[in-house]
Amino acid sequence: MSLTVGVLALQGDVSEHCRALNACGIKSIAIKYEKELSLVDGLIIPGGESTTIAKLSFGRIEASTANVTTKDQNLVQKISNSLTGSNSKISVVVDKNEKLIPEENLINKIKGLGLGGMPIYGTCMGSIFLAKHIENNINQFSMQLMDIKVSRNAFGPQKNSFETNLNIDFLGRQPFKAIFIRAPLIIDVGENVEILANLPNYVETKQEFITKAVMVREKNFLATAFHPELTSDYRIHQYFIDMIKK
Amino acid sequence: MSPVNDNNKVDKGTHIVKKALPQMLKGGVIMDVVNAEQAKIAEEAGAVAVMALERVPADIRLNGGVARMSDPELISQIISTVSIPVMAKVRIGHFVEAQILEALGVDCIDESEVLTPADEEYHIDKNKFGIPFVCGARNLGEALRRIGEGASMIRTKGEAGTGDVVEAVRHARTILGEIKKLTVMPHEELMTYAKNIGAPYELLLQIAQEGRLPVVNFAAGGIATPADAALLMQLGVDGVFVGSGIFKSSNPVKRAEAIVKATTYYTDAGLLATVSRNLGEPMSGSSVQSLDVKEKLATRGW
Repeated sequence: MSLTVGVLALQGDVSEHCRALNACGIKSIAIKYEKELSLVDGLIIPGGESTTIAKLSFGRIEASTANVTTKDQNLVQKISNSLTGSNSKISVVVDKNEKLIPEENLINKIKGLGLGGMPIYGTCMGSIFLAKHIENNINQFSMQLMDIKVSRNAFGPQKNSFETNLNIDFLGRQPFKAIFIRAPLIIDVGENVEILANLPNYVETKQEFITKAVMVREKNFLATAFHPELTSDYRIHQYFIDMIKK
Repeated sequence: MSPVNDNNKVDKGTHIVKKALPQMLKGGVIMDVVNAEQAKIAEEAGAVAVMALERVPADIRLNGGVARMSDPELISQIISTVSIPVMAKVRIGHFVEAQILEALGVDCIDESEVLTPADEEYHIDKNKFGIPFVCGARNLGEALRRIGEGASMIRTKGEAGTGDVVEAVRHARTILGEIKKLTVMPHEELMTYAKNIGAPYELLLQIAQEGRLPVVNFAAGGIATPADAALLMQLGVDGVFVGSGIFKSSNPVKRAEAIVKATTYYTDAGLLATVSRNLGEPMSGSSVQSLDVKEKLATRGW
């Protein structure tokens, strides 16, 4: 079976993920449009800036809602409902012909595919995008696909970014070099979420958390707080590929 | 039995950790801001990072005088206002300004020709720092000298504060063209080429093999419209800096959002047409051709 994996390419370290997938012998596609999703068997949401991607996903309203057709109004409502918290400021962008700019459909489509069972893997910012709960930022957009709570930027500024070796049981005895860049931390998980790796206890965080998970899986969703795509150790990408194959 | 891990330590400020921050900014727009209010506007418009400086380049041109690192108080206010990375500028060679910025907790330092150089001979030894540096370059030799000194990100210089994209295009084409040339150059010519462009040989060899810079490369200096940003993206840079172009325009919020969208959907002419509509007046600017040689900022640094 020949697999194709997409990498969401609105912003972030897309080519690094493509390179890792290709090194595993898998075809990769950078995804910017909804129609491209029909070509892929799984999707990676890369590292990047969560506020930027949220902005690109749901722009400000540029035409007044009064001018939007009823059909579009429903979509506006649907999109608003899918946001974390209620944020009336965020709405859809329509162009002069009241046609939606493509990216709104893209995010809804991804969410639908995820709910339908398509494997999705989020790294760093990608884990924020998958989370149902985000600490101390109610306006942060997410697709709410995983029952996890994420603390954004849990280690502080870039000078606290780090690399360290993680012991990840199912990857075998060889530790995994994990790179954390202004990284989030998974600070709570629902009962159906499996914690695959925790932050080593010698790493300091900005504040204390009860759960300090850095790699979690729930059904067809995988999330890491770190960036396996920045090294040439492809075991985690291979694990995701195996998730797609099953 | 638990796996073997005799290396229970945390390594900060390593080469890979410093290089990674700019990698996360790819496909994004970094916006110049002079205060926390502008920083908030930039973040809400979708900037991947903000660049804190005392005055935007257009005002530095207009008012003259010595341009320095911004007031640490302003930088701290910006850091506490936004959640995206905060960068700030230091004068070329001014390693103490850089030490201060590192202590303040900025995420990345720009050793910038836009400020008045503090040293006309030496750039900062960036390998000594635990946070990444971005440096300007007009050609491959300059880019590789900066990377050799420890820069984790390159931006083409362009001509800051003009609103004229011509120099940004020139520098992007020069660097990307030289890289392409290297990939097909016979091996025996590489050493002489390294000598001619004043580049570290080992870095040059690496580029000849990989066909790309070992660090992220953004465009800067004169980008004022969504079309300008898309032009540079189509030429092959990883992202863009917009300096005076946003807050010197008549509608900064709308223009900033439009440039962010244009940087993502840079090949989508229909979308570019939509976002470019009704943006109000761009910054008025001054054409690079009208500048005196000594008014050009890009010639600072070597």
